[in-house]
Amino acid sequence: MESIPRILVVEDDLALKPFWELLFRRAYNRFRLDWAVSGEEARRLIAHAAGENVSYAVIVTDLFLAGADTGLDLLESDEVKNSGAQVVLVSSIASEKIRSNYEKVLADHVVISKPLSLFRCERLMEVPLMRAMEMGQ
Amino acid sequence: MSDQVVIVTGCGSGLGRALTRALSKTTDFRVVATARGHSLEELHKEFEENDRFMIREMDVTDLAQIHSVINDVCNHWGRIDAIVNNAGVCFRSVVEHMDPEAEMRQLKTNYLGPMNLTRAVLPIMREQRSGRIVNVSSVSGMMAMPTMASYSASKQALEGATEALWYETRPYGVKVSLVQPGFVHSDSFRRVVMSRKAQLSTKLEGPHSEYYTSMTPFIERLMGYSMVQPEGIAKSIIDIMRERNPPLRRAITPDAIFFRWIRWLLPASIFHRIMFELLPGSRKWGVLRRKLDGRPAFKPLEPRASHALR
Repeated sequence: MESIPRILVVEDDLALKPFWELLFRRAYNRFRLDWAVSGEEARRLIAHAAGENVSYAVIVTDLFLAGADTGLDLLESDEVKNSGAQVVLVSSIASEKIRSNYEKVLADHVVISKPLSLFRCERLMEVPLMRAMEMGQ
Repeated sequence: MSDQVVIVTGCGSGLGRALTRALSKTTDFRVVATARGHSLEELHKEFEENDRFMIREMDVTDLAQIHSVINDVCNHWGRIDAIVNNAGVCFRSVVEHMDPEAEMRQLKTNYLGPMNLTRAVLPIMREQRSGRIVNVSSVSGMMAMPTMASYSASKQALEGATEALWYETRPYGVKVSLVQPGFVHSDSFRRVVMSRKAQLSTKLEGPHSEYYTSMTPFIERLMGYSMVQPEGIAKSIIDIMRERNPPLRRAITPDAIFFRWIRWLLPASIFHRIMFELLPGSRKWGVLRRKLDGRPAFKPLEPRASHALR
């Protein structure tokens, strides 16, 4: 049976929901997308998914979220570290600037700057999306 | 009246410490200096406890600690004549960078804490048919500035409650006052707390960082220019506690007096427009956000398209 990639988008700007749906629809025939607006909510969802043995294949998180945590706090959380998910950090700040300040934390993660464009996101996320597919099979 | 027993909160630094020093030199006050645990050692180093001076741990957000101190003071000295609600914290963050936890800390320390202590001493003061409650507000209690939303909200909440309390306690001889200091030349007044998002935005020059880069140096410059020292404010508070009929509100620095008059003279709509023009960098506010906030060009999906597709 084909497994369905499970995706988590953590973003407090709900206007971006159609964008991410469109992007993942173009990448996968079937997928399940969950949405969280805060790091705290995301951590709960990731822990719950891990408990059910249906971990997220891809986690996309914005840098500035609702609640106290930032996207960087989420990346450094045990829940994300232990999830084995491909992680993408999205921010309105230039990716080079974020990388230069948080080189260690972001070493293995894709960083995408806003404004988002479908073409650029698909290009930058090609590897994590493929890896996520392979993990699911 | 001689030998009034006064409890002061937030004596660990700044105005609280200056007030404690000033009160300890008076002959008409017995002082209970309170502070959170981490400041007690410093207090014990500077002040010696005796039959006119005690130091107690009290976090105003901790109701049990408040009641414990009240019991202790009543057991020792049998009365409480005055409290000075001075303990406070100041968050510097735009509204979007605050979070519920930070908002609660701000409100608990600056508003809910003083209300807790007030409720704890009121029955004692009512029975004595006398008492003084001095709440330390700020210019932010009469006006708000960008990056100071939560702090202003907490001080304006304190002002509203104090005004109501003035009516409620008047029949019992309990006198309630608000002191409104403005900019003070003191390092401790520069100690502000930034939420994690505010820190991150400042570090990365992210969204809203232009508010911090314009407001923070501006406020610090004004504090640097200020001739007012915490000792001066402490003296004004002691004067208020000695006055037979203290006012409900007293602006106690030149800028606080100035803003009080301006707010009284100018209609709010004109005041806010002038302030916007005068605040440094205000023309550039929002430019960064608009630049960073570009939206992807695509048509939204139909509303029925669920986000959980199978």
